[in-house]
Amino acid sequence: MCAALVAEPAEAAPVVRSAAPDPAVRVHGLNHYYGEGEARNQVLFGNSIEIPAGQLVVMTGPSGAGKTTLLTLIGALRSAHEGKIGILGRDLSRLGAGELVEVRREIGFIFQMHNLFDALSAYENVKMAAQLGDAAPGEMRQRCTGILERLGLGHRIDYKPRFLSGGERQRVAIGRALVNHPRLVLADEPTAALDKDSTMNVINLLKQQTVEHGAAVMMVTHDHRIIDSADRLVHMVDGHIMSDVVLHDALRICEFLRPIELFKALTPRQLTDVAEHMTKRHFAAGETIIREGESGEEFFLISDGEVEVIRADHEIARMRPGDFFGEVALISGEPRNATIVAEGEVDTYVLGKTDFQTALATSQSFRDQLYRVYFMRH
Amino acid sequence: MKVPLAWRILTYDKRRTALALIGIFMAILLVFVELGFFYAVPRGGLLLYDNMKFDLLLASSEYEYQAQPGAFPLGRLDSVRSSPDVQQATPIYFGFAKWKSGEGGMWPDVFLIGFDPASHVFIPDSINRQTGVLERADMVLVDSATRPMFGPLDAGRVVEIGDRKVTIGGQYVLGTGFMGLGVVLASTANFARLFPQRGLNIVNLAAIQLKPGADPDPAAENLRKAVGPDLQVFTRKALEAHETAYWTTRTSVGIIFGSGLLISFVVGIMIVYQIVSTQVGRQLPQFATLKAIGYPDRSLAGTVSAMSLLIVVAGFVPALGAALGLYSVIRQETLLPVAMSEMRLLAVFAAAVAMALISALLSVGGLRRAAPADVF
Amino acid sequence: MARPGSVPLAWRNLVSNKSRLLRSAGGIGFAVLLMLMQLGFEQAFFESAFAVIRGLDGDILLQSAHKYQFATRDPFPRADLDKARNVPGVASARALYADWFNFFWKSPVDGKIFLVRAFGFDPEAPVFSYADVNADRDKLKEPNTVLVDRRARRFLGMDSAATEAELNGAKVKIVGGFALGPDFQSDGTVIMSDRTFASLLRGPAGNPSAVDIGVIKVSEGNDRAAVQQSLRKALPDTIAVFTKPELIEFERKFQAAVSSAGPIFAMGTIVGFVVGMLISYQVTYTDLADQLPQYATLKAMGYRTGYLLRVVFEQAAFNALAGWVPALLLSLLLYYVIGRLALLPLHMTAHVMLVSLGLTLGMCLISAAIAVRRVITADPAEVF
Repeated sequence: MCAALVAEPAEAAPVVRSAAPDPAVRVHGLNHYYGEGEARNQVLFGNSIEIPAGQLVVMTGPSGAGKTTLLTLIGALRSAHEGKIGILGRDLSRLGAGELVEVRREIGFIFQMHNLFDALSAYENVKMAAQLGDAAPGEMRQRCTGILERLGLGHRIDYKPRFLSGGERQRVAIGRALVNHPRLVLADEPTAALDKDSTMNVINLLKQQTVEHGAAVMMVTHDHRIIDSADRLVHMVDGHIMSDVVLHDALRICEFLRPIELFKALTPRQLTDVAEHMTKRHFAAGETIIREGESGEEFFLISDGEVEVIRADHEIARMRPGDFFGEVALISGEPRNATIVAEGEVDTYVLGKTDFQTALATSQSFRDQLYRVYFMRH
Repeated sequence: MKVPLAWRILTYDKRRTALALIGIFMAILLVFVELGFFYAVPRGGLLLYDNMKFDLLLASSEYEYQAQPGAFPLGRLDSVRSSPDVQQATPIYFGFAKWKSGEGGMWPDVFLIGFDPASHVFIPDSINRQTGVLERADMVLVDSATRPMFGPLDAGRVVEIGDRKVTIGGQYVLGTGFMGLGVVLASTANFARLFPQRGLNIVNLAAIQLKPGADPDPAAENLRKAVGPDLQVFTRKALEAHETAYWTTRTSVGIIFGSGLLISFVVGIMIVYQIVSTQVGRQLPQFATLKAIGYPDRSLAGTVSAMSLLIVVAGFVPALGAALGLYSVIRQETLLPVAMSEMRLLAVFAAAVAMALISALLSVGGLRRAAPADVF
Repeated sequence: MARPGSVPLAWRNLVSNKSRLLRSAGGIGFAVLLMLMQLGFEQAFFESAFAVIRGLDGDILLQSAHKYQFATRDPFPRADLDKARNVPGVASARALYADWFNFFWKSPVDGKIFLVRAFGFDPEAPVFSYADVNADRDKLKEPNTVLVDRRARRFLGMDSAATEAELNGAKVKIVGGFALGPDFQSDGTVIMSDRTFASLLRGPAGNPSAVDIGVIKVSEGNDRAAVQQSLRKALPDTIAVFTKPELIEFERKFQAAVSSAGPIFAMGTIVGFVVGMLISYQVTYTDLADQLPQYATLKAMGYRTGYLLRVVFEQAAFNALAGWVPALLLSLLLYYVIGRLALLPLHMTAHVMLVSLGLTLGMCLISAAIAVRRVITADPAEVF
């Protein structure tokens, strides 16, 4: 389908990577222990994970797997024994006590126990968090009542916890966590006390935070209704991250790849593998994606938008969603044979060289298909 | 406006707060009472002086305190009177005698003060109005606060004092202070009649009034040089300091009321600590949550301090009111001049604030146990 | 309802939570300490007025009928004492000469002059039961010799090594010492022979040979009350005849009537009591609230309310003791320290212990009674 468009091979060109913002969470090589001396027990084993902004991550696993410990470390509530933790672009190990407190203000915590002050009304409990933010008093009032209404508690704003049901109390606690639109939300079984409607309401609210405010959400839960809404699923067992799957992207990529000739030959399993190793990348209008003459490290598949193919300074072709490029350099090792520039806003799925080669190795038919395309292009 | 967390916590838990308020009310009240006594005692010792007109007081160098003034010859007043600043020097005589007309046949000791009525050296109207009475032979005035043990104090009653019969000419209002259980005023002539062996040549004190506009301190200095080392000259301030020092250091007063003060202070701290630490302990997860949200430790310490101060201030006001009432009751029942003064009010308030802050300090330790990590 | 051998629930409840026990014991303890200090001071005040009376070696004491308190000189004629000596049943009738306002002591340390209490007696006819006084009484036979109070207020300089001082302007030799201590009237005491007393007495004190207190010893086998009656008959109305306890009681009544000490210390005691009650109420109420399910369960199991009430009151009593005992121990220390510093006769007496224990138990039981309404209304059904 996309094969006919590209004519000649290009020289090697260095890959241009688009600048991506700091991931909300960047954890590397995290080890953590409980106890001292002989009774020392390791609970986290070399955990590494990166969570970009706007992603809703659900953590599952049996109890004692270390999920909560990981959450407390990421939330700067405990200090890491070994390993690096970066939150919202800041290296936690470098921060003093005062700076840590500031970091906490950027994080919304939703605990299992609501821990509301029984002396304060729902509104006041939420305001305790709101008044740490930078809103003007009038706006603060708006925010607090707004989020409570959004959670279905508009008629309970001035009630003290004593007069609220268990589910209502938990919703107040969620309101407290989200009132300042934090850039990172850490939640531990937030919907355990909620009925079906409230749960969906809360999940939608969290999704809204990711979409509208770019919040990253890390949630520990066993609730299946939520898992369906997650963007990414991390499964931990005995302190190890056993799997870390970007759900929707993988699913979507699969859906996307399936009709493409090149990938038709892959088994669903292989397709999922490839899809899982693809990362989404966005290019602004006019941005150069690959440059003629640079060496090739990546394979691109257009999911949205159009690109111009330019060789020797004039456009020779255009590509549309479903088209792919960059495979030549990866196969032959030659430099890029064209410059590809984004026409408008372009979304692509990118497969790194190693993964690409792995895909080639695992699927004969994929290789055959690819070579066919390659040779056709030549 | 920020959420008034301290206020809310206290007003929500009405029962505990009420108990703490009662407790702190009592502790502060006791501080007021002990402090009142502490100052009332020397004040009581100054009662007579407070009611005498003088700029300087001349006494023997052996003057210990008002009840032990020592004595010096009357003639020494000549050099005093010739001093340029001195307008008037009034000799004062003190003596003890048996009042042989007490209730139930008792002979209580009575304290006698001899002076020249025309000098008007005493301030109370009730004395100056009865100058004529005093000048009559064998007639005396009796202090209205003289104890019932002395029998009726009606004017006209004839009583035996020492070896002499005298007539009560009337009562005056001043107070017996620590002078004794009964006090009698007499003219110098009558005093001499009551104490024939002593005569008027030995004087206990001299009340010195300076010429208008004269500054007491330099005048005192001049007088000291004039009278020599076996007499001493007190300004009013020096006299007060001397008497106060006597009562607080030479007697058990300081220790008794001071220890009561100290214990009340500690009890107050404990009461405030009790409620504040209970509230912290009861809501440890909530405070830990605040820490997790991003409240710095000092902000939480501020909440704890606010709770302590609220309790203390809320207890202070009624305690002050009760103290004023109690003071007047004490004045009536014990005849001790227990009174409120600005200084004392401020001092107790400062002590109350100290109670609050110390309790807060002790409670903040409990806050440390609020570990945000454990809230997960 | 609780049979011997059954679970001591109250005790177990008490000791199970150590930190709570500590806090409640501490709170109640301080309130008790406040009361103990006030009671101690009050006791010291009165005791110091009786101290010398207690130190007199006699069963019956004679004094002038118009002598209104111990600390005043109001003597009666020698002749009356002689009359008393002849009354059947009287083993000895000895004279105590005393004065409180006319003896001036010049400190051998700094030469300052102070008023002191003075006692005189015939060295052959001792009146005091103080061993150290009696040991040195022969030395007093020499004129112008005195024994000094080593526990007098320090500014008197009586505890120095000096052997000479001045009393009422005359030189005196210090030939010994005793340990009596000051009271609220006098800062210190000197004891001398009757002759020295007579020669040094100044002022309008009247006849120096007149006796202030007649110290009578009743012969073996005689009934004190009977001898007292005989004395009353034999002596004129101008003499009052007291047994020692009666004289102490007379003095107590006087002090209570005229001095402010009673109300002053009572106030502190009341505050301690109320504060203790508040703390104890708080403790009991919290305990009950925490254990309500357990109590309700007991009710459901079939225990009667009476049993539960007993448990609550037992616990309150234990709490009271848990606060009282350490407070008592601490107050013993404070009595000693303050007693030495202030030269007050601060002693723990059975009376103080009993009164403080009674007040402590009272405040804890009363507050428990108020708090206990919860247990009575505990509904077993609520537990499930």
